Amino acid sequence: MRTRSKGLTSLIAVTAASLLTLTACGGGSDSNKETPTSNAGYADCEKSPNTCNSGNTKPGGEYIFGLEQSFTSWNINTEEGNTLVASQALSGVLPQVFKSDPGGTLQLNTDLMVSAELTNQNPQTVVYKIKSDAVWSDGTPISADDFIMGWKWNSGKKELCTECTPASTSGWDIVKSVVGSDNGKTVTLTFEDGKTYADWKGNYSTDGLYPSHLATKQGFDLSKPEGVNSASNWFSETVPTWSGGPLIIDAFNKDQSLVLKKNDKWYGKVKPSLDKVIFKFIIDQGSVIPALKNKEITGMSPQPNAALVNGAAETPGVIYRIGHGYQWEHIDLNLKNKYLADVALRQAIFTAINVKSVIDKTYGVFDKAAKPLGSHNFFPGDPNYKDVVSPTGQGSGDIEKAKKILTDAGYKIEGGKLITKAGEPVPALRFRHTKGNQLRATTAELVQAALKNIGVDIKIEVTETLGKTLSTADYDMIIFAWVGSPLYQGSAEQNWVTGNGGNYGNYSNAEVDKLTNEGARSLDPKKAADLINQGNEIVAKEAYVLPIAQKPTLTFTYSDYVNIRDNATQWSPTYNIQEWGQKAA
Amino acid sequence: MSSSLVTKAPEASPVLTTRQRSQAELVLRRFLRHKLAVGSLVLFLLIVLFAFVGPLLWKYDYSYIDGPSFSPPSAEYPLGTDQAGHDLLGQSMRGTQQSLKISLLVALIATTFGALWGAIAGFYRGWADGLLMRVADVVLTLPSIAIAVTLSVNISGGASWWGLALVLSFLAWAGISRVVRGVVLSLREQEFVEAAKAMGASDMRIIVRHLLPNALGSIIVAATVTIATTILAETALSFIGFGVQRPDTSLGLLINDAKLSVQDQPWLFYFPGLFIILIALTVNFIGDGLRDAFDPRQTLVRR
Amino acid sequence: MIAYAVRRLLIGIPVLIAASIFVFVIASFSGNPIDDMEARNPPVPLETRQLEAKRLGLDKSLPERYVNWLGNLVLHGDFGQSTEKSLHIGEQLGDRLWVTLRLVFVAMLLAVLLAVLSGVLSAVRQYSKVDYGFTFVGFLALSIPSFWLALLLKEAGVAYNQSTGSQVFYTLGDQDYNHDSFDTWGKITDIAGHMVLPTISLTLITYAAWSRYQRSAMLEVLNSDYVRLARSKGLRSRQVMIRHALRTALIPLATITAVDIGGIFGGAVITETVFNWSGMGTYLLDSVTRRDVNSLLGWLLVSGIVVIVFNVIADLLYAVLDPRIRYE
Repeated sequence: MRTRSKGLTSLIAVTAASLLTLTACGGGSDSNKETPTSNAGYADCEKSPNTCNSGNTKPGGEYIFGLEQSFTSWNINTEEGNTLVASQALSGVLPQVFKSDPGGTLQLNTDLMVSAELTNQNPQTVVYKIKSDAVWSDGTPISADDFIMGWKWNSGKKELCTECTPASTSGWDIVKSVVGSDNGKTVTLTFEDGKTYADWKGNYSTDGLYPSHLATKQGFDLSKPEGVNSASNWFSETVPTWSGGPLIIDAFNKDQSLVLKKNDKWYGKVKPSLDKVIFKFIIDQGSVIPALKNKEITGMSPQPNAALVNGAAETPGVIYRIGHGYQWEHIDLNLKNKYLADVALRQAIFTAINVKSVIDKTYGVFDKAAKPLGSHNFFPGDPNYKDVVSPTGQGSGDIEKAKKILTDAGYKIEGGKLITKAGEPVPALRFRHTKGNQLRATTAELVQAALKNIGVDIKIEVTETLGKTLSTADYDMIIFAWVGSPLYQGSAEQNWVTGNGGNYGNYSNAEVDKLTNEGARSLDPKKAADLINQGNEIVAKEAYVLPIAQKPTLTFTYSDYVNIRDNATQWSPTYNIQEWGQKAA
Repeated sequence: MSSSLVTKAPEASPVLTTRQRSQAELVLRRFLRHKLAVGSLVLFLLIVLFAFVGPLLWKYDYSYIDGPSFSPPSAEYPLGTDQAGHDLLGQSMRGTQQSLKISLLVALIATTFGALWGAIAGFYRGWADGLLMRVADVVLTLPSIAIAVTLSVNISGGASWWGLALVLSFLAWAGISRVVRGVVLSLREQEFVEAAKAMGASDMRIIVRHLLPNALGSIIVAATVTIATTILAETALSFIGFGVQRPDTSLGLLINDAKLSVQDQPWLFYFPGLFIILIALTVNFIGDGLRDAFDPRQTLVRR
Repeated sequence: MIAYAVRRLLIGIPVLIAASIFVFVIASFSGNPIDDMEARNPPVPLETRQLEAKRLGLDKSLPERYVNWLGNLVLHGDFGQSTEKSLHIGEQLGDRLWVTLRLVFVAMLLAVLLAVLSGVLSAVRQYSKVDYGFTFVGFLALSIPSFWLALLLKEAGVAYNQSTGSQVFYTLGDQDYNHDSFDTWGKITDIAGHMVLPTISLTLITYAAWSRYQRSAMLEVLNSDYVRLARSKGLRSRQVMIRHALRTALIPLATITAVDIGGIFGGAVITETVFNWSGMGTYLLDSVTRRDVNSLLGWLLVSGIVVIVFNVIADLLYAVLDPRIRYE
């Protein structure tokens, strides 16, 4: 029914990682000419994701962009506020240091910044130079004080903020100091000695800057941890009347819409041409297409499904595009189950599952470019991407091969039941998925049908709380998605090393631990990727996690507006909100 | 099951007297005069056959998933297929079966419990009545949908059909208990109750053997209406995501899964909807016929 | 009469408390709001989770949490903390109650009118074509799943707009995004425009049962001795109907209408979801998905009070319509 997507922080796109770039590079083998993933107007997004649907604008007009949820907190530096919708809705208001373009490259926000550079390796030091004309909507310059407040909020340290609840502290908990100079227009961020954070570009980019002078005006003492906390709460609860971006909030109708108008004090190169940008909250997916047809929204970037893609394609005057994002679906096995602890059974299970046919019945119905994912760490299009799954035969749906693996290992299939070497029948396995997710329910049924062929019974159970089900490993098999990112070093360590946070199914292999740990700490990106891929090959062979596919993204808009284009990163199509506008005749 | 409830229940009653048997015949005769109700009964029985016998005859059962995605109705798939490739006919049979099972079970549990509760309250009156009816009031005050939603969240691993039936029963009994209490309040003053008391019959015996059989008309009508409202309640719960879960199915689940398909795959939306309407409509007409048959002037408090 | 109303309202308090304990217990057992944080990648810091648990009072025992909740509510009018830190439950409920009430109120009014009209016509022309027509439509409305009807209406509204190229029907939300900038008249028409389809849908599923009810009540009165007497004394049929029969036949409807308010609130959950309204119904669903116990309790309290108040109003109406009844 309703899904809450949180956990933005990890979605950092430093390198290209979407399938659209792959086809552009000519690496894609299939060319589905008859079934486009976008229609006219967006057709050139395949080749030039960053410039498609561009054009000159004429002044005036309103653009109504739909959002899938409403939000309660205006401070995206908190656990509560760290939602995709909040960051989309505030993308015209919050200044950010880097933003990713649709191609997946992080670009310096040159409206705000002169530069943001790594100046020293040890201690790792980043120097930010803010443009002199960058100001908040009341004329106060954007300054180092705003950077300092953001650091304190996210640090997770009680001596900096008493009760701050950041969604994640990674990259912030090892910051030693943030110091302003040059009248506040230069900011020097220094990490603790000997600690490095490869993805420093994420800081002040996945979140955003807030005006510290307004907090001071409210009477909060930002030099005290209590004051910093009060400021965080105040920004969380108060609808911003301020802006540091091209737009400023005009009106907010709780749970219905957010209306933005031009910010007169906007210092950037491109001035918005639209009179208003409206974000409308459409929580019920069934309302999206009627609203689009009814022009109650003019564009949106919802979680795709067949009805939305068809509906967008059939609505006259609307163009759409399916992209490929940073989330990937996968089936995990729980190695705490004594039967699944046997690698032969795991290999047989994964071999019997036909990933291609799972995709055909799920994403493939509306996303013709969807195809099996072959890596646990990288996406097609990334130079580090290496298909480690296909060579193992897993995901092929080859029942004979699966049976052979089993018989070679001493299993027997008698009367449709799988019997172990010890003569025990393998009991039914509990396959779990999140309630209300139709595509995962379909996957579960397909897996159930496939595994019947090798004598393995599957009992499908939904879960209401994915988090608890995972952290208590209350499953035998489970399907869910990871939010991947080019921060592969951190996530690889998290997911594949013995006993670590994302390794819910208890996988343990000393060789993988060694390779992955070494890869995660290496400062040479090429070497790091090689080590992680080597570890990944072993993980794949040992059949712990079966990747299914990258989740598609969808963006559609009425074609009389230009510069609105799909962006599969967390910056979403709103990354260039100031350029949106009515097409000039 | 429901048909036997309707036509045979009076005979099965252990306290049959000649007077009652002739009354049963009278009721049956009056019911048969209600053309719409009789027609509905026939149609309803056909639906029951479709749901319970159909799966034995049709080649695809509900777990079949190898069909093409979104095939429109065809000779192979008379009602079409959904995105996963389920055969909608097979799914509808199973869905109708599950929905009927749920509503019949609810009618059974809620009516039995509600009737007893109401009869006890009506029979004893005084503080017992006050207490029992306040409890019923609490249930009636609780906005039923809220409770259904919270309760079904509690059923781990998703609601099974009988779990859902328990939840819905919990919400349905209170209304029935009120109806029965009203009837019993008027019955208890009548001579045959006095007579039974004089003969030394225990309270429970009077309630179960004398009061309830005489309130049977209202109870049966209430049970019938409960079937119809439960079918709709199950659908509503499924729509907001708190009903039966895949891989099992119900009419509510089918229609919920199809809510985005109204435009593109209308068969997925309209067929299960028609089944629901047919069941609810026939059951409502049967209920109307029964009401007329038992007492042409009987009015029922319907919630 | 006022004393009676006050007494009735006071009786409602223990009922509400019992209901709130019940909801509190089942909601608390349905899961921990902190659990969902564990599935995020990267994981939410432990400190954040601990602070949240403390803020929500999850570190305390169940009875303690309930007593705290009740105490704060009675002493400070505070509904407690939501799982969303910046969400004020009281404020939300206030805003949303108004949204839902205007839908429920208008739909009830229309449903009563429709029920009386079709019920009376049916009864007066018993066994005529009119009667059969109304009866069939009534039964049909009684048998259609509410959201099925709502979705159909929505599709129809969109199709109409597209074919005429105008914006007659709104399918999304309860008011326009520019609502606040409209003048009074604009505000009224804006709200009314957004209400059309949801109201039709809620009215249709509500009126049917009432019209059946009204029909039998009317029949009963028409066949009663005093109406026959009035007729035999030469009162013209229309006068009889309006002054005597209808007035009496409205009494049971008044009761059933008020008693049904709980059910209509339930129906509104579906209607609000389909038409994307931010009212009480969607608030309930959000609270359940978030495992937001305090929001749920607040919701229960507000809608429970509405139900009780309506019941009392029904009793009072009863007295107004039926001169034989006097409350003390």
